[in-house]
Amino acid sequence: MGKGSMKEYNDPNDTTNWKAWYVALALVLAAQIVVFLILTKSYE
Amino acid sequence: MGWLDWVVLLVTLFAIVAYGTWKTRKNNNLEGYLKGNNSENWATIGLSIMATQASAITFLSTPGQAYEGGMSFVQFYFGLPIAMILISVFFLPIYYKLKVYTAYEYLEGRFDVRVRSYTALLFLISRGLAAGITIYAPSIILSTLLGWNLQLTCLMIGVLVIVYTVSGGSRAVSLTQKWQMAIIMGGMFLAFYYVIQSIPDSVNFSEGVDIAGSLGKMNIIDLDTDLSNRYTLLSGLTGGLFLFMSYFGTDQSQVQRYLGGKSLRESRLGLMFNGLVKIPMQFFILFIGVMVFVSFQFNKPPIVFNKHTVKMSAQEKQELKGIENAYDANFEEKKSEIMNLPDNAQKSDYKKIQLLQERQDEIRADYKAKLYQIDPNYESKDSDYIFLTFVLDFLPTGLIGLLLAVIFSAAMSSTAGELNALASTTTMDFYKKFISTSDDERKDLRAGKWLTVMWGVFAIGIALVAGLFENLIQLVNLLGSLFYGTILGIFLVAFFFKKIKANAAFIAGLIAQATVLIIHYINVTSNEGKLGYLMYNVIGSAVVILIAFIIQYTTDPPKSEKEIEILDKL
Repeated sequence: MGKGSMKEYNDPNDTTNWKAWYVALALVLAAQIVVFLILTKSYE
Repeated sequence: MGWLDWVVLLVTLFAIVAYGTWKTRKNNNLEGYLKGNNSENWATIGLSIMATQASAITFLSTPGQAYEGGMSFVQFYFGLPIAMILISVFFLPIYYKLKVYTAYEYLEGRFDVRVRSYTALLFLISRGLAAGITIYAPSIILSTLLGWNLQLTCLMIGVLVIVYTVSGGSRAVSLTQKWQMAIIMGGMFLAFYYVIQSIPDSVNFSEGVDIAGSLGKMNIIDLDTDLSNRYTLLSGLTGGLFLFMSYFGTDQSQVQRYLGGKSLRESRLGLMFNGLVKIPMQFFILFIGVMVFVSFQFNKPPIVFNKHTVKMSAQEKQELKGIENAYDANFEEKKSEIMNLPDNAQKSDYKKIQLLQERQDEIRADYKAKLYQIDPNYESKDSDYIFLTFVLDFLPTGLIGLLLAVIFSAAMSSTAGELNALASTTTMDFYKKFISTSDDERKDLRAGKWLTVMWGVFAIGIALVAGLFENLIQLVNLLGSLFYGTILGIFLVAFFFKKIKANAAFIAGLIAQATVLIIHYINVTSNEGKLGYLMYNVIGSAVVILIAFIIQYTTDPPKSEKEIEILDKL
């Protein structure tokens, strides 16, 4: 599947910035892992 | 359990069933029955996705797991947000554009009817058996601790689910799941409040967490790269990612939840909601287990949580009494050490407590081994019973009923999602494809409803006989990972490798499934380092892709654009 070929499947009327959503979700995951790591290390 | 608990439990359960049945009573077409007429908003979709995934065993086992082994299980969910992003980008738009009823329908257009039927069949096998265990697993725990009849408990859960799932279809499932999820989370917050209340006032929250941490319960992240270790950061981000991609992207019980969305946007938001909330929710449930552990440092827990009665001789009773006395003395000594900890306790202050905890664990293990020796049918793994034991001993009357409603709601919500999906797949991928030749909407709807009843009866049947096959239960717990790798592999080939055709995909799917089953057999029979079952998902997917490539490029190499141009001219 080539780059950009998903466009044909997406809703042209949807103006939501999905890239921002995906980056935010990935950052939240990374932040959770860091917090959990700090918690784990503090009790080792 | 008092009369008030019964009132709370029964009113909650019947109100949900009545609500789901009433709200969807005018449903009279197949699309409405299977896809809810595309009417759900993101909140309903998000909660419905979570409710389908979280079965009763999630709320019974997870706190017990944290009580015994700490918080590391949360790593299992690290692949989930990434899976949500990938499904949102690649899977969801295609399903929407093609207006499919089931995920497998897409495979016929992309490959052929063989690949569609084969993948749908793998889903029906794994999910059909799992639906039975979704009913059986909480029933066995409830019947052991409350003295209820096991068969009647299974029947009650199964029949209640069949009533509204048959009557209202997909929309009834989603609507009831929203309220079930509200009851589940409300109940769990109340349980957490009572766990904290059960810890003495002289121990504040932070000191409680320190006690848990010093006794090895705050081990959230494991950086080990050993693949035989089931819950590590690496296995969560790799095996977990593949498992959740397959579960949320290709398992009809989940696909059906978000295909009922008002629009692509609402469905995507539902997935984002799941990605944001799932890890904190699992962390919270595990943390309840950790705090139950802290509470049981001050309130003596039973030596075993599984109170299954074991018949024994007077001498055996005497031996067990001796172990119980040692357990009591050890507990009191440990409690006194904890109560006498200095205000700013250092790591070295916990040394003796750690030793006494290890001793307590050893005594418990000895006691369970003895019980097992007396009665080989005794289930010595009792972590699933820990949370409910706490609920029954520490929650006030009325709230015990609510917590039991939480467990029933969780069992019903995931079973409903499963039955609904099993019926949809059988209706669309088999019945309408191979049996029903007419376009009679009412006849197809009737067939969909009867197939839901059939799968419900099948699930109850599995639940009723599950107790006879202990190994079957273990196998069913693994079923997801045994089949998901192959299913995901076929979908990944369909989405990302356009030059691979039906024949290569179908044969690769068969070879991959055989490979995973052989690896599993070697894994359970060998004494060497065992492979964590999450890795089956990665292996299954990788084998499908690799074999499909080899077959396609050796038997019928894809033609270049130039070759196609020349062939067209001829």
